[in-house]
Amino acid sequence: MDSTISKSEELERRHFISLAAKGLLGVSILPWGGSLPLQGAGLGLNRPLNHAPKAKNVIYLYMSGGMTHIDTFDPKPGTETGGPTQALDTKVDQLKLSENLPLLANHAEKIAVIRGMSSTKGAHQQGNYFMHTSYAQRATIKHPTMGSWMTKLDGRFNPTLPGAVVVNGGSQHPLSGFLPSSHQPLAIGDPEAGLRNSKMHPGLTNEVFNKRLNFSQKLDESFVKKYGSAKVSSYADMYDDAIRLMKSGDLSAFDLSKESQKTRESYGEDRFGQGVLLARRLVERQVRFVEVQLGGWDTHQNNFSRAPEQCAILDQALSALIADLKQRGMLDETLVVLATEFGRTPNININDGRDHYPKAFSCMLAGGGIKGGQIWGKTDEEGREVVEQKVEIPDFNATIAFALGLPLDKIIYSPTRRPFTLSDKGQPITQLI
Amino acid sequence: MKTTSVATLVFFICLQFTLHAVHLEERLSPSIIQTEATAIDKILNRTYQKRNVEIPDKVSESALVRRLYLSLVGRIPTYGEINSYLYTTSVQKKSLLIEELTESYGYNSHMFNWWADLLRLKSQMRGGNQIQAGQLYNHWVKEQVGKNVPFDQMAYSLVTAEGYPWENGAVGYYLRDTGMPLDNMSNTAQIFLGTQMVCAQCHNHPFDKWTQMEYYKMASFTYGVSTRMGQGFKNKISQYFSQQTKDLSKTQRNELSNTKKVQSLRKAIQEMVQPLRYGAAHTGRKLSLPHDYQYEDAKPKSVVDSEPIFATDSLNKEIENPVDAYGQWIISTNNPRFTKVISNRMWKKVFGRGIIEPVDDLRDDSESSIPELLTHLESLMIRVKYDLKKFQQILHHVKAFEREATGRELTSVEKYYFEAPILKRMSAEQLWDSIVTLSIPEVDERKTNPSKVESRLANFANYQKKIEGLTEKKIIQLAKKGSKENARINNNMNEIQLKIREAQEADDRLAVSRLRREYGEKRNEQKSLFASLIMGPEFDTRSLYRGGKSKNSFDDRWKGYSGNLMRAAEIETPAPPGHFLREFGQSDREVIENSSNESSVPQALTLLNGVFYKALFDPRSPLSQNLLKANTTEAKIHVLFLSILNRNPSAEELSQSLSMVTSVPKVPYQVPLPNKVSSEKKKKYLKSIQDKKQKLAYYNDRDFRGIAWSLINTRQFSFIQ
Repeated sequence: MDSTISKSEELERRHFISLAAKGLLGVSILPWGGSLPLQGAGLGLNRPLNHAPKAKNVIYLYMSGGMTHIDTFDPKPGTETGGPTQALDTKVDQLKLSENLPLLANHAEKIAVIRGMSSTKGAHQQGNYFMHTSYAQRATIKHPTMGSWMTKLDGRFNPTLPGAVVVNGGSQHPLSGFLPSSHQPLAIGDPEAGLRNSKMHPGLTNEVFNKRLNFSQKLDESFVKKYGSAKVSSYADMYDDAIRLMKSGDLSAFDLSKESQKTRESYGEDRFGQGVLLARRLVERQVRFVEVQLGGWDTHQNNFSRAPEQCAILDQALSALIADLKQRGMLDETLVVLATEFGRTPNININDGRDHYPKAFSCMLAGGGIKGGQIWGKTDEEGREVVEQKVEIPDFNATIAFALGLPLDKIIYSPTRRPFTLSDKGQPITQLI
Repeated sequence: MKTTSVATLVFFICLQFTLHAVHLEERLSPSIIQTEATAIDKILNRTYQKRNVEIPDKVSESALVRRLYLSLVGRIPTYGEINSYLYTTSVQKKSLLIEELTESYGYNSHMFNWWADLLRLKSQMRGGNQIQAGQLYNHWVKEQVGKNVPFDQMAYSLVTAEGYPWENGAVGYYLRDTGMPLDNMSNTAQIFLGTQMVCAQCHNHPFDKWTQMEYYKMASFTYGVSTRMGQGFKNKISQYFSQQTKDLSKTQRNELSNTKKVQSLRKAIQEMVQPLRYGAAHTGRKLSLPHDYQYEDAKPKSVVDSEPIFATDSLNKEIENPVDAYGQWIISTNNPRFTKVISNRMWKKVFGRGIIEPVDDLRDDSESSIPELLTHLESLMIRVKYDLKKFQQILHHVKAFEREATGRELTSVEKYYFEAPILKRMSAEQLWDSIVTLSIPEVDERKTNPSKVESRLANFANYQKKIEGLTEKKIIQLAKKGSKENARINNNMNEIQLKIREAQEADDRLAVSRLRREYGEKRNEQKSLFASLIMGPEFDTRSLYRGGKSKNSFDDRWKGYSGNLMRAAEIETPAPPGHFLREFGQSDREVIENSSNESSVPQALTLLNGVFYKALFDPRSPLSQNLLKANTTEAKIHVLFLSILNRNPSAEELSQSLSMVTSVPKVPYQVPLPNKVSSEKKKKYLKSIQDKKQKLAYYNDRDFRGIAWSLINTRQFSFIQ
């Protein structure tokens, strides 16, 4: 037992070195052979591993409430189910977006639209959980989300900042699931408020702060000596890390006022837009995974006045992000994901709304080595059924992981000794990359 | 209680002879408590001798008091409480304190947290969230804890719960796992039987002996519990409909039911019965094996009969309702794990570690570090009739509890012989509650206004009564009216939405916010629409779901103190992400006993720079008040040490602290007033000087607040020694 543990730790260490090299050189220079036999054990799926992933970090935009596919990425103008929503031509043949996304339409050659999404979970919480974890929600375990898997399997790139951040995630977010709290994404409510508790109390000087801290340590000397356990000493490490963070220049990543007014406006002055801008600033400093949520998609009523409003917010922020990443030369290494729990019914209900519809919906990928200008999957004329290239939620998440070069078959055990992999049995759509 | 009555004395003598046969009295006399504790001491002493255990020193009196407060009421003692204990000379003061604490509100608050972690209590619970059933379930648990309902009765009430949440809050136990009846069984097994069966849900358990068949047999007991209520009502209406349309052909009927008119009527009826949809009903639903069942002993999809996983003989087959039979079997004293698990959990609660670890993954080959002790505790649990308060009172009298905590790291397989409690960091709730203790007066008394929940319970019951009193005809009449009204409001809303868009395009922010308000009003109107058809036009649906507008803090004692400063058990559970409680590892209530006391960077940032200092250092906080009252520098330092670490400073610490006080206190400049100034003016002047003095006194304490900050940032503060 012990020897297998140390072996797997050794493998993880080598894995980390290889990743560090990958980060520096852009290629993986160490052979993967050593860890191959371990992978897929018990699952027998032997899913592919991306040996030269371009994507390093992820900006994940989550449309909470269930984004209507017919009024966004899969318009059906002229049909009864299409409603009044019209379609726009883009630079890419075949790829028509709804009129609600005029700005994004200008970036059509950079995005891959997945129209074949399909799920079985038609309630918000279950759908949301499934999309975030690739597993069905259970009352006996909590599964980790992508950001936590990423720091678990691939490490953090910036030792001071958190590995993953969730902006506006709400209280139901599964975060790090059963993984240790060191993989917990940092939850941020207001993107403009900065990193919570990272500034000294007003009126304090560095000198006074240090003096008081020293006093605190002095008072504790005999306690620490007496109870010198790991539990107690982990507190010393925690304080060291916290103080390093407080003094770090990276902290300014959370300060949106460092951006020009023009940039801030380009993302949209609402909370979502500013959250997306924050995501860019964090990814710039090698935070691995930043999720930003936009709520309000649950358009049971008045879909045709509300969806355009939602789209206006999304369109502005997403198109600004893609343009900004491109301009900064970050688009290749940053995977931009747009996801949601389910689509909305093609049938328009008596309240001019659309209800929950997991059977067919759309998601989007861009950057991070994704081939742009692609459409994957197709729904029928009324947007009811996926007729080509169906994509289940675990497949979608496996694709994200594949783009990042994460090992899909690597098994991680929960504290209750149950085996899990990061996208369950999902198969990546390698053609997209 | 304080005088030993003859009856208790006789009882006490009986006890000596027939220890296992009699149950203990209503309230435990000090001598009985002491006898019981001594019995445990004896077992421990034998173990120490046998295992050559080195006995640690007794902990200091102040550390013991702190430990007792944290262990029994979940917070540190106040400055007044620690002083009054240290100055009391009675030899029985420890026993008296234990009794006082277990009879206080603080105990209830602390036990609620314990239950909340075990039962995964959530204010926003998935099942029945539409009617905020989580709040009703929490309220029920609080009531039971307040009444000190014995653990076995509580377990029985939960597992056999039936009815609407306002009739019986325990139905939350099933609503919590709505749609997941198989998982619910795993949870029951883990909570009450300390047995992990979850792996066997999909295949035979790889590490334990459970087969998938055993899992299904066990789950079959409660599979019939449905969380969807109002089925009878639905049937009534559809029967009425088919009566009305009995002359139509099947196709005609289908066509009719697909018309917009009938659709909206159906929706209207749904809306009307919405509040009556959630609860727990015992139906006869049968459980079948999954379609991919892979073992030889049965065919896939065949129906499974219920059967317990062990102690099959203890199942009373006379009881017809399988759920009730199951409940009885679980809490039976013949059940080999029920009493063991709760005794072990309680021991862990007091000493920081179970006699068997882990406490919720018992196997046939699980080893207990002191088998004799666990057996003894089981019989004690039965003798106190599962009264957790009495059980804890006894455990806190055990000598080992008074010794210096064990700090060394124990591996999960290492055997520990309980020479002392384990050194622990305070739980998130203990830390938060301790900070609140320093920040507001009478901390245990401050509660969420109970009338809020109570009025909801009454309103729901009323709603139920009203709707059950309506004829089918009347209901359909109302539904027709409602759907018409609904369409009208919906049109209004649509119009407003379009106007909002126009206003946005014109960048008319004033108009946008006005229109948004209008939209919100319409939305509320729509929400109340159907309920007010039943209850009358004045009815506000929010009184059902949110408990109306009554303010949270209803007591003048905390006027001016932030409404967020309440003990963990009184605020939303779990606290929202980012809250102090969550930062320090409060369970997210997704999985049983999911709280953690691992350290993290956000924790350090909170202790260094957190917003809680604002309340703690507020001039009205007990900490600031006690500082103000102390006259000398030394006295102030004593106040700080006693309030935060609950002990006096050593001579060295005192002199170190003195060196932290460097700023020179400011005094207000006061001029003697000439005689001719009117006495009224003089008075005014003196008053203003007085005000200034007070403000300056607070200002002058700033170095002491600095020391308080240093004390809060010590490990001694967050750890329970």
